[in-house]
Amino acid sequence: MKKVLMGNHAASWGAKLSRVRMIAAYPITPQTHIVEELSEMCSDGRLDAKFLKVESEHSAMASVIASETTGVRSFTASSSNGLALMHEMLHWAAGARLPIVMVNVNRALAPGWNIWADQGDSLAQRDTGWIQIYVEDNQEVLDSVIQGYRIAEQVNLPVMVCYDAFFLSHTYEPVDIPDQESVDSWLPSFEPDNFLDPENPKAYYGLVMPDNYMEMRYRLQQAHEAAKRVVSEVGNSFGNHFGRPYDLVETIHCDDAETVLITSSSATSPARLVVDKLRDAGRKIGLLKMRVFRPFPTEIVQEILGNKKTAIVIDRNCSWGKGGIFADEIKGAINNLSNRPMVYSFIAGLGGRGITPDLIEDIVKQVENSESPATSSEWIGLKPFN
Amino acid sequence: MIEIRLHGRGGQGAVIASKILAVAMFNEGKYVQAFPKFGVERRGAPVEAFLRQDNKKILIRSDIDKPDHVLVLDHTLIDVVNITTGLTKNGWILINTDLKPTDFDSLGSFRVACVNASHIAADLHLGSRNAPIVNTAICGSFAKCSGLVELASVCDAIKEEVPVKADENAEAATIAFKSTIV
Amino acid sequence: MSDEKPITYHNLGEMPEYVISEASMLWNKTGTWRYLAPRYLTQTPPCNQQCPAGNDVEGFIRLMEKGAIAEAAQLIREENPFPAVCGRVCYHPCETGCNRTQFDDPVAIHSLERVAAEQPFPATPPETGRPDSGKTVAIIGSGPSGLTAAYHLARMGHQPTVYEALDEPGGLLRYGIPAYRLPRNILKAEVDHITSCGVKIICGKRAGVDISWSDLNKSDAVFITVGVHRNRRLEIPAENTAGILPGLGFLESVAGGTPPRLGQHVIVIGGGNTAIDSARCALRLGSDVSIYYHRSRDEMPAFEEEVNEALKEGVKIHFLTQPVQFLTDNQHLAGIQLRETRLGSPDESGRRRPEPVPGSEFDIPVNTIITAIGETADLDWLPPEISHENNRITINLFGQTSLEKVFAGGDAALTEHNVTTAIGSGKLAACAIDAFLHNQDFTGIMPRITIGETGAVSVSRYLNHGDAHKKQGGPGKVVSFEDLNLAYFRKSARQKITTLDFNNRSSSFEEVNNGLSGEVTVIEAKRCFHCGVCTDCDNCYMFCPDIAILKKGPGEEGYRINMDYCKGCGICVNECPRAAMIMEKEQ
Repeated sequence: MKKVLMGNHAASWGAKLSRVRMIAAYPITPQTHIVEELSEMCSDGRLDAKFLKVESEHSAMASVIASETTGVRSFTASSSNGLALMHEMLHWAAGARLPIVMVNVNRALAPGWNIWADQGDSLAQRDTGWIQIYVEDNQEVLDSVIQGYRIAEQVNLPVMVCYDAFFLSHTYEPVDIPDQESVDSWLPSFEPDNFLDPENPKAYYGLVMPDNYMEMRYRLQQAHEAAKRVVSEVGNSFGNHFGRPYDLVETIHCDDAETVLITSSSATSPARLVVDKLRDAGRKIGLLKMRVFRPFPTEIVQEILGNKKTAIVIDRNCSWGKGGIFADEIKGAINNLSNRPMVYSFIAGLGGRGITPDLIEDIVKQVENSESPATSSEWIGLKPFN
Repeated sequence: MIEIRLHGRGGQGAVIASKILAVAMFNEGKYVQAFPKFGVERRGAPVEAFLRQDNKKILIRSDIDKPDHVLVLDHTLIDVVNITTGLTKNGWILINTDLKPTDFDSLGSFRVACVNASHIAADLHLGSRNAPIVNTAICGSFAKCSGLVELASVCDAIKEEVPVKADENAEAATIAFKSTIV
Repeated sequence: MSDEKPITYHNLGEMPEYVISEASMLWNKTGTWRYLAPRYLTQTPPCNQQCPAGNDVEGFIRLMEKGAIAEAAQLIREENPFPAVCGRVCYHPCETGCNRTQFDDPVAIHSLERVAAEQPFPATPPETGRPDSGKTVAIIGSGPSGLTAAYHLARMGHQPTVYEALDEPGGLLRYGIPAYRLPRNILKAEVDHITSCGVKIICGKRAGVDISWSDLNKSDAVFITVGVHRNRRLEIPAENTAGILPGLGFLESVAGGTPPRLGQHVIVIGGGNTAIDSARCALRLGSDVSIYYHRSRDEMPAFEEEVNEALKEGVKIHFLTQPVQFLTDNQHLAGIQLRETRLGSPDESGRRRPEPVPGSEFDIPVNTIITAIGETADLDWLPPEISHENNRITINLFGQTSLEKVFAGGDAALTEHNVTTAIGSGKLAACAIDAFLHNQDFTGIMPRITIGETGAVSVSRYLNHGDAHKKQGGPGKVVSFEDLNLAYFRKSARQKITTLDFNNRSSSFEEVNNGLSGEVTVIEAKRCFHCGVCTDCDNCYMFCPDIAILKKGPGEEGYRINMDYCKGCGICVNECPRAAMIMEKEQ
């Protein structure tokens, strides 16, 4: 069934179709619609789940950690300062190896107060051990939540589905909502090997001494390594079942490209237009959409960029004191290659400023006219200095 | 691709109007994208909403700066907001007003359509007496002046999307369709 | 036993994927690490210790809290056959001792006991498991002490016979305490219950007059509780004039339904309960009443509540005034001469001695004066082998007189004269007589059955029958306020009783105090701290960091401590709200 849905309701539908049984959330703009819709679904009986109102995002994550520990598929959603407040619990969820799926609507952090799109909130959580998927449109929002559970429950890692505030969260566009039966036949019910069970008492999340801690953490890293394969397999299987395949990354015209434009989230859409336009003008340019940021698809990035001349990374984020985060991670991924492109890093669209096709085209032109990248990220679209 | 900008005041239903038109167009087989201009909002403050329509997937994800058409849900906004910014020459300006198109000649070389959506909404008891909700009437009127969507599709979309007084709202669209002055 | 070994992982493959226990920690026993160990110990609640009658106060409140009112009444009757009487006339030292006093207000124990007594009488007294002994006991006097001893002796399998000099049984309860404090039907019901338990009461038989000592002495044991009926004299001029009434005699005549004619104004001399009772009776017979007492309010021996009620009813009390002489006119009482006193140094009772103020004499015209400065026992009929001193029968710690088979109790043998103390002495005598009849040495038994540190004894513990561990704790420590963990208690208001309207008091002997109503009874009972008695609150169970405290099996109350894992940290004892656990050096 195709419907005109806002991105937030696509997320709600993803959770509903995944038959989550417990939702704990605290509202924050621009995430609120997600949980409002889910609470309505719970109250009118469309969704058989417990909706738990909590007093903070920290409690929301603590609650889904608890419910997931009891073997119940759980969901939450947050954004920006709310996600920041969850920080401690995010480490906990991953360390406990709980297959929670959450949605984070990417929003700038205050101050100055800003409710608009910016990836800084979730990228600041990159080291918590969560799988992070950055999605481009509302269809991908819904699809990624459903895939999220299948990925998470295979590798015992939590999954964060991230999308841009307002550009997706509040934007209505057509979304194909799969039938519940179709989802049920693809997403198995959640039956963990271990769960908190009074009939089979065990201690969970206890002390791990130095003689075992490193091994436990090695297992966490190994799970992320395995998740790369699982994300691909799940995305492929999803494509076979629903007709919409997904992977760690998506490439457009990359095979013969000399220059590769690299984007994530909603900025990918206008980049597609630009790449098509420049291709039509005879330029050897391709597009790499970074869909999964954690685990970082190092091998694929190496393979795609290995023999290219130029890579242009557009980041709607900034690691203060360093620069664009995707650009930095890409540079790290290809550093040991003997043939590697020059990497140009641009920061654009912070705090909800639009990333338009014109702006992307300007970036490409600027790169074409330069000899080598600047040492730090370049900020695009700033007001003139005088 | 056709881009439409809606100007209204918080509480008039500009965002829902953009969604109703998007749904109507989608049901006619178009790709659509509708979204509000996000700002600090309060009832009565000027707000904007955007609507894109195309025959293929819409990949632009930013505000509409160069609209093909503009809808104005309150004619007094014309004094406050530059509603013609970026508007394509010969684009439609649809205004909720009790005045005539010729009264808006000063706006420039655009096509102006007028409809008394407030009056229609008040007659049908949509919204409250002092703040009628005019969005459904404007949608019907837009179908008339732009020809971009059928009135029947608009009425169907209203029934799909408007939770209360669906029939009265569809009637408002129909009356507005018929009473639009171009 | 594999559960009892620690796991060591040697390779990654053996390890669980997430942080989860794969075996128990049962191997991790305390060893010799512990120095002190916790123990559950029922300690003595201060209310129990304060009760002269040796009631299991905490125990009956515990039952009432659960709504088991009939069981509560039966528990009281294990110690005391007079809950309805005590629920009205006892001066409730239990409440004075209640640890809640230092928290907000004491539990309304007195009122709760009265509510318990409103239950229908059980068919039989609480079971003792004792067979008939065939032994007879003669009890002289049917006051609270005599009847209590008779009741318990009957329960213990003996055959007590009570000889009462007056027409009706009850002693002071019947003839000393006015009906507005103790309605006659209430007293009669409890006396009837005692007789139904196997006690024989013979009224109208005055010892030494209607029945000789040698006849009484034929019983296997004798208990003398003749009370104090002889009015102490003022020893001032004109004391024998008509119109001067002895207090106790006045109360007896009122109780017997033949009150004397009183003047419009009545003067009562004295400051004890007889004086107050006499004043309030005279008031109800239509007179204006003034009490003259030679010390101040602080030294008054009467119960404070009764004094307050008397004042509220309109009795006037003049302190620091003593009689000098009665004034007569033509052989008739015309008035009294009094003088002011001031308090000097303390006398042997510890109270400050009143000293006359010279030249302060004054006269008051009045034609009825009630003297109530104390009573003494009439012991003239006793055989010389039974020694007495200062009109008090000499007894040892457990009530035995100079004759081995003869015991004495109640007001005739004690310095403290009140109903509850008399009941306590009756219990002590019953236990001591029972031990004597079984040729047991009571001195060895007494410490085991003494409640707390006061000397009141527990019949339940003496009989050691049934659920003995819950009965009145053990001898020894009384739980103080400081012993409690107040973090677990909340302040809550004491439920109030209602009293008879003052307009109805001056002409009626209707009962003044009403009891607690049904719905507030449980609320009031729940205020009890249960000092020193485990209520299965689970605090120890929940707080033990080593999960060494385990609940006993289904249907069993209480907990046990798994000493393999107890580290002796003392948290359980610390977190016990009510000091029902102790830490002690390990055995």
